[in-house]
Amino acid sequence: MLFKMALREIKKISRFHFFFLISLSLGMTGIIIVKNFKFSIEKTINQKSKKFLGADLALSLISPFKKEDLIKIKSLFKEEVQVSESIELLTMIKAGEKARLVQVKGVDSLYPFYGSMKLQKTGTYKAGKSIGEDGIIIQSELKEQLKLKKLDFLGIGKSRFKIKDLLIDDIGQNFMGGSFVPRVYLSLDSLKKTKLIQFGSTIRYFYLLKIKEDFSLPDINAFLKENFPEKNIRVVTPQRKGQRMGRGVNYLSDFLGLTALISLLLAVSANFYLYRNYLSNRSKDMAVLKAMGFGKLKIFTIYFYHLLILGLLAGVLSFLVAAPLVLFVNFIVQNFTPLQIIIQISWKSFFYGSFICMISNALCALPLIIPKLDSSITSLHSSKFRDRYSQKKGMILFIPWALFFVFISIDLSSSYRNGPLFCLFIFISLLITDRLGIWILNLLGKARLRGHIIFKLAFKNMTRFKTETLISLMVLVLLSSMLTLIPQLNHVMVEELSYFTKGRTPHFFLIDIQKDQVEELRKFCEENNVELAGPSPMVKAKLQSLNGKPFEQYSKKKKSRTREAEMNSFLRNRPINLSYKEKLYKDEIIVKGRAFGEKDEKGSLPGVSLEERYAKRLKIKIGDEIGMTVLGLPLKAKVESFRKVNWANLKPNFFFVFKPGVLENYPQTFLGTTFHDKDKRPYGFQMKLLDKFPNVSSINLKRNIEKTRTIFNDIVLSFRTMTFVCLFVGVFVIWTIFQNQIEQRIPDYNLLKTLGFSPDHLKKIGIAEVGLLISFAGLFGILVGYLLSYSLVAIFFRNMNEGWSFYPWAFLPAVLSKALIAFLVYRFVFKKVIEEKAPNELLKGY
Amino acid sequence: MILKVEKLKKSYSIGGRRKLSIDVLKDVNFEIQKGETIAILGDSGSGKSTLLSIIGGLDRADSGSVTFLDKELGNLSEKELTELRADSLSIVFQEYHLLPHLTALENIEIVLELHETHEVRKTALRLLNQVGLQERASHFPSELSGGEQQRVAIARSLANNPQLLLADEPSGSLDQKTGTKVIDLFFDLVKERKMTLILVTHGRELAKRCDRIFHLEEGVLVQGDQ
Repeated sequence: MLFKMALREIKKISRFHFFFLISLSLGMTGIIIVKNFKFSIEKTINQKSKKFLGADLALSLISPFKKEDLIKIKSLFKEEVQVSESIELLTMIKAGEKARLVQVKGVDSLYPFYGSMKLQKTGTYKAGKSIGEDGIIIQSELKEQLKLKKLDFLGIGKSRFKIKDLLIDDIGQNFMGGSFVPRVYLSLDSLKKTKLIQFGSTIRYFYLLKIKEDFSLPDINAFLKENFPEKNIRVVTPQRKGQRMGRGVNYLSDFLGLTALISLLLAVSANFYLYRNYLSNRSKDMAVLKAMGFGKLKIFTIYFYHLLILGLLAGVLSFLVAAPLVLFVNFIVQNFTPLQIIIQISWKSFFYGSFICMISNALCALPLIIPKLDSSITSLHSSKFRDRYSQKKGMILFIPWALFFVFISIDLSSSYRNGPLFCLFIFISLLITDRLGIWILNLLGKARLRGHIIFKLAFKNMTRFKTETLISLMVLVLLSSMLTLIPQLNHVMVEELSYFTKGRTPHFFLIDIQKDQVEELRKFCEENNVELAGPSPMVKAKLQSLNGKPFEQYSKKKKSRTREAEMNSFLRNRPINLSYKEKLYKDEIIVKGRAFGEKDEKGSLPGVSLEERYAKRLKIKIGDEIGMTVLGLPLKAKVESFRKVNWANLKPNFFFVFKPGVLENYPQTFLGTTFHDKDKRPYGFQMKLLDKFPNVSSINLKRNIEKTRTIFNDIVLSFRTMTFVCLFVGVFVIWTIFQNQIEQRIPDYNLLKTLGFSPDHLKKIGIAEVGLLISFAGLFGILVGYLLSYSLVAIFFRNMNEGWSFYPWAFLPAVLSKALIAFLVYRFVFKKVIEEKAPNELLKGY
Repeated sequence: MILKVEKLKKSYSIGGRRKLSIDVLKDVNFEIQKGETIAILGDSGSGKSTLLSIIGGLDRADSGSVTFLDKELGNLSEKELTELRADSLSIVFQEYHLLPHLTALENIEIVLELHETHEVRKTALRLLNQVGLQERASHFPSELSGGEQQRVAIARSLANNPQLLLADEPSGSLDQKTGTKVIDLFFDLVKERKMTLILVTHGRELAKRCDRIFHLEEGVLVQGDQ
């Protein structure tokens, strides 16, 4: 019966239901799109993770296994295990006057166990096929970069190879499309012929395992640690590979999710206002139900069902609106971005959207329904009904909805920190707007105004219809702040990117310099008038323990639920690069601890200086003991200082720097950067370098910065798109609120007309009111937007080098949107209600 | 003569697809001299309020004419009608119709300010004093009783010093005792200012306080017995 009564409410098709549903479904649309984006990434990772890795399990290490090692590993499993071996290294190759750094990957005939590579000429490359002797497969972009006109021969190391085919789609290519270094495939025998495998080169050996039985990852980790303690083996599962590949896109969708949350908040604010008016028109119905003997719970259930049905309908509507938009987003992604994901509409998003709409509706209405249920029949009957709830009690009723909002934010941002912090910022902004708004309205309400009657009436409308003004104010502040926040964040990111291009930028980053080549390279650079920074030694190591306790290892069972956990796990398990030098760079400053270069105390562990932000992330303190392994050899050090590193100088910089005398005997290579005069072409130098030092690879930093900028531009584009969604929802929501307010005031307008106010007067009063409200909310919202962007950068992007910087034009979208709102309100609300309706129409309000 | 109504007709369409036309005013004729008070008696739905709306320039007649201060209302634009309402007319409603977000004083002040009157506050307070509500000046309508609200409405209707005062059941929402008090005050003020009054009511006793009485029956206005 109660459900039927709720349905009867819905059947009364009213303007309230129309605007309520449209507003909520529009607010939900952004979230459904983002959710489908996330589901598509998840689905791609789940479906293709084995294909991305090419195996059930992969072991990666910097020195090869011996035959007996592999037998030992195979013995761990009951059933037969197949092993495919591959080797990866970086090297320079040249063709004509062009030289490029490439990743050379030597594979055997078993590679890959799962998935395939897409080739231009011969279709697909699968396990069982062989690249053959003297042949290579190169990534298609390398052909463009080297300006190769046909598939010719290419020199790699000491040998030349015939290009057999072009690689169009690689195994394990990340979601952002392509990599900074193009790949070249060849057989293991061919790789040996290049003579590039030499001691000290940056080489990684991969062993892909095809395992028929179920296996326990912790057991494998324990086995490897016990049997090969010196090997520094990195164990990669398909899931981990998928997560790592999707990390960039996941971060993007997390932040898009938070932006989409704003549009939901805007919609909920508008619906709160609409429902408040709806419920005040239903006060007498409630009184009748009470008089008929309906208990509080029964009356609540009727309204609860009503809200759930509205939520479900809004869920259906938002899904219907989002579905074609998802297809459109997929079209954009496929055709205009490098993202390698097919975005599909998922039924899960329908249930997700409907669930949020239903629960959000029900919880948001609690502060409106409960005070009415607690009121007496007489007071509900009275036209002057006002609930007697104190402000504190009223605020408590908002808590369930606020918690639900935080819950959605955690889900959308996949973060227990970012989501709640984002909500906290929003709630604080709204609370400040509310408190400040009340204070200002009270102050202005008491003020004795002078000036024209139009202005005075507009002012009184604002100050005396406090709740309406405050809700409009909050929505407008929220909209203005978001529209300021997004371009301001965009600016911060652009500045961060240009950080590396400010000042004197090195052209090449040199890697794999051997110890015995250092002096010769210095001389070579001098002869060619090229400034060389470094070369600095680099020793590869792995973190093992902190103050005797082992760093937590990645575990399949402990799946990272949030981005923070993912990142910390990634940092703990990542190999680290150590270096040593006598003096720090001039722009490298010790911020805590001992001065660099001071002698270690007798009998104590060697001192190491850590980059300050890295130390903070891993919660390392001065005086801590860090245990590491270098090629299986243990190394312990005591943290003696934290350094601030100027990463922008693009010189060889390291998280861990030792003083001379500790690392000299460990295997090491050297890194350096070269600076060139602007008028000289650096490519001639690169060719000479390659001739003289074939094992030294040079990375073109300028080109890579450009590539990063392209990816970044796509991210900015998606943020801008979400801003437009927010703007659209915001404008609709505010239009709805103003329209509703003006309709509620029709009796007042009628009265003013009978008192001699012309339509022109009424329009001016309305415009003055909206103008005052919009100007105040705009100014305050812009201020909040700037503050919010500052706080977000300080908390979420604290690892940025440039930090927050003021962007004076960030306020423009907020101002333009306000102008648009003012125009829409004037043209479609005031004009229609006041001008186009004859006085006798207006009299119907009485 | 301040107002002349001739052959006034007005009908309304009601219903959905099958529209029904109801003739509310069939042939209304009367005229009123300056300073005269007349009452229009009629049952609910007899068209009293419609007649008042047309005279007040809030509605337009289908045919016939209303001449007020030598101006034919049917020929005036919305703007001219607004000006006429602002300068020469006032209406007192049954439901008081005060602006809820303005205090008693402010409800009167807005009319004075629209006329750019000097000493707005002083004049408004004087008017409130005349209706005995000076002490309730800063109260909002929701804080006043029905009788008090109607007294504020009466004070407001006098603020523009109108040549014609239209009153639609001014005591209709009040209890008998309060109603009588308000009506006494109302007529005292009208007499004191020698204002022209058209009072619409269904109460015979109230109508008797006017100079002339008309009966509105089935859309036709008939001169009464006074």
